Amino acid sequence: MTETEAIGLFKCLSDKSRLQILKSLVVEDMYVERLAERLNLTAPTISFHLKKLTDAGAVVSYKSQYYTMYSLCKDVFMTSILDIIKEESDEATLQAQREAQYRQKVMDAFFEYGKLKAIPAQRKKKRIVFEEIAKAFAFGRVYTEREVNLIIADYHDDFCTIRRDMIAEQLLTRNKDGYRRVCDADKIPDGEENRIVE
Amino acid sequence: MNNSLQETMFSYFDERIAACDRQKEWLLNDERADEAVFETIRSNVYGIFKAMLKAAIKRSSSDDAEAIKRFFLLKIEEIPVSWKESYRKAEQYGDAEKMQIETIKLETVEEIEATFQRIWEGRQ
Repeated sequence: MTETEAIGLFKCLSDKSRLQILKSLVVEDMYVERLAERLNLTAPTISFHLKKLTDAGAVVSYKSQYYTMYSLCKDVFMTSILDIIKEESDEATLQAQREAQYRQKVMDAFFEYGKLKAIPAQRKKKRIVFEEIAKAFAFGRVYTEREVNLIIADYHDDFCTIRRDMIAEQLLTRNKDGYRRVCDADKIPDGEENRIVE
Repeated sequence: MNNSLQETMFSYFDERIAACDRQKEWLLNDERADEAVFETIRSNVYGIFKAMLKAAIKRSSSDDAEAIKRFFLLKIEEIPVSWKESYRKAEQYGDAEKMQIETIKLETVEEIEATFQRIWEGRQ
């Protein structure tokens, strides 16, 4: 069940008359007039609710002699709410797309032919730019300060500022052996940078 | 005489609108939001024809009961034409939701017409 389908189902179920219809259908399949009698509602009102329940996938209909019978889609109700929550969100995909578009916009604005035109003032943009420069460093390898400066200098002349900022952004880490690119597992909790940087 | 007829009709509209509002409130409290919307639709139809009666009185001399009747019945005939067409289309496409809405409107107009005829004819 997609997120949109789940929202549609929950919206549909948040109505007393529709819940009463489902309670009747869980006992046995029924046709419109019978449901109308049981629930003391008019037949058009029952048809209206059945249409909503059908659209939400909660109910299906079939022909039986002269009647259109309605029955509960038991499979839908066997799905646990936890399963629905675990389902990957459509919104998460959209957010990732928007994020990728924003990154590309920043890259296009600050890089020209592989060179950094200027160091962004805004923290978020600076982070995106430094993440791109960090890709020039291999994970697990230890670099000397000179090597780090040479790599960064390929992008921008102010390698000292960028090197320091990349350490502050936890993209590079420094110890007595030299510099390393930080992978997610190496991330230092906020406020504890000084314990590692010697 | 005519003023009394008009007052009776306006009282009828006001009572029906108030009844719809009460029913709507009850349905909302009973977690039946869609059926509450139906009451709003019903109430709107009463409102439309209350306005039509006002217009009929305004454009005719208030003493001319026949002129008021002619104008009002003309509107009762004209206004639901598009609703009937909408119902026919909804039926064609099996749109139960639209059918229900149009049914409510058409049933309400029928009731208004019957009430109007009863009150207006009752003058004689």
